[in-house]
Amino acid sequence: MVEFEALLRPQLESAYRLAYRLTGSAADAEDLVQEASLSAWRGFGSFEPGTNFPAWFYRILTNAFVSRYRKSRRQGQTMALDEVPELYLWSQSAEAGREDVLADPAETLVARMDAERINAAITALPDEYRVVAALYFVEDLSYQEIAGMASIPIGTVRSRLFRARRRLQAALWEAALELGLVAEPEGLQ
Amino acid sequence: MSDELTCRQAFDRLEEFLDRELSAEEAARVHAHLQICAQCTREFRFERLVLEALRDKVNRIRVPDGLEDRIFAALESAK
Repeated sequence: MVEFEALLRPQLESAYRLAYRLTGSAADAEDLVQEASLSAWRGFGSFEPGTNFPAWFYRILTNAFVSRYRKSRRQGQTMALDEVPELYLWSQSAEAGREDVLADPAETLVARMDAERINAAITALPDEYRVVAALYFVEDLSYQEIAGMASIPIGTVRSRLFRARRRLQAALWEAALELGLVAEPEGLQ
Repeated sequence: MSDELTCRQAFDRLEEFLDRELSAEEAARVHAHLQICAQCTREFRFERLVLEALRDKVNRIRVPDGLEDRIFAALESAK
């Protein structure tokens, strides 16, 4: 137990943030981390000492999310992914006359949105895209590592990530418009 | 075939370039294109800044007080 605790403890904050991106709620995120922790404890005998504990634990957490939460969640999706307009909208906006956006996008757009709104955009993605996007924002994971954690081929990670990014960027663009951070460029609506 | 990338070809590699998922050879081709194309350099910089800002933001979700204690208490009671 001491060894397990020592390995698990440094992962809990990052695991909670991953769980929050997956579930979209603080209560569900904590439940998910707790469930994954219990599963990991029960299955700790199968963990090979010296291998990547975070990867092992995130895989358990991701599997727990897929099996427990995805069936109970609504599949609400108002726009098919293929209908998302060709991006890159933000830079198109800059070319449409908002040079300030291009000058410092982090300051003018993303930094002015709260973290909850950005996480909400991730949570609103369809399940299979959300899992890949949520893992993508864990620091320093390669596509190969994401593939292992989500139990899908690396080619599927690439295609899902590509489409998740398009959908996410469109959602954040809509949020930026709503917040008045950017103006509607002509010819994009 | 020329080894030089067009803007479109560089653009198609943008995301994997930013994610450091291209092979060394492919990354070098993108670098070479960026050396000679100010517009793509601007676009790549823009996307990199947005990605960094997004990554920073999503990892600022506050972790609830007492999370560790509750998790380890649950583990204790499950023993």
